[in-house]
Amino acid sequence: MLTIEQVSENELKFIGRFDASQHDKAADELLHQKGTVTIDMEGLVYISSMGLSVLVNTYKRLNETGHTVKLKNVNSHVRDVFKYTRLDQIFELI
Amino acid sequence: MDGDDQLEMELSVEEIFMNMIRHNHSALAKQIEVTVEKKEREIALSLSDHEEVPFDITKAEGVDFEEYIKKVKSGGLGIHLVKKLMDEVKFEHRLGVSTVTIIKHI
Repeated sequence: MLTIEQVSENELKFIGRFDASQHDKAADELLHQKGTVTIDMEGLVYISSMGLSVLVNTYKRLNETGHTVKLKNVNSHVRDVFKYTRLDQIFELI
Repeated sequence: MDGDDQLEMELSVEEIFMNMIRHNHSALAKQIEVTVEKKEREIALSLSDHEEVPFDITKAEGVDFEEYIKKVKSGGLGIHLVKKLMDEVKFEHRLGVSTVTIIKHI
């Protein structure tokens, strides 16, 4: 189960597990983001390739208008997933 | 097995499971059987599915990351992740059933 909280206009917080079952919900939520978005991942314990695909599609959409996706407070396991898929070269991990 | 090992095992199971659902169109593919075996120094977890045309994930093409990052793609990462996270990945196809076994040393 993934909970997404809107912290401010340009910041979201992900809490829980981002697996395939949460794909549609997260995709809908991120579709509302217009400018550069920061996602606080302190409470995110798990992400699979289906979760990564939502983030990649969001990055692609925002990048068309010169914006990006920033990820902060990424734990060691989730950081490894970004490293192994080399998506740490696309997203800004802060 | 520490917490990260457990998450890596869970992630690998999800990736293989989703891959089986996505690519297997056999009419017999109605359930996926999961078995777990704990040995002294490793945990072996197998997922078995009826599959008419076997898809050996151990022989799947690697990801071309240069192209991948240039085009900002997101497909095909699941199998790559399984191979990165597990110590061994095995594939067997017998009597119409494909079995993927992932092994994590503990």
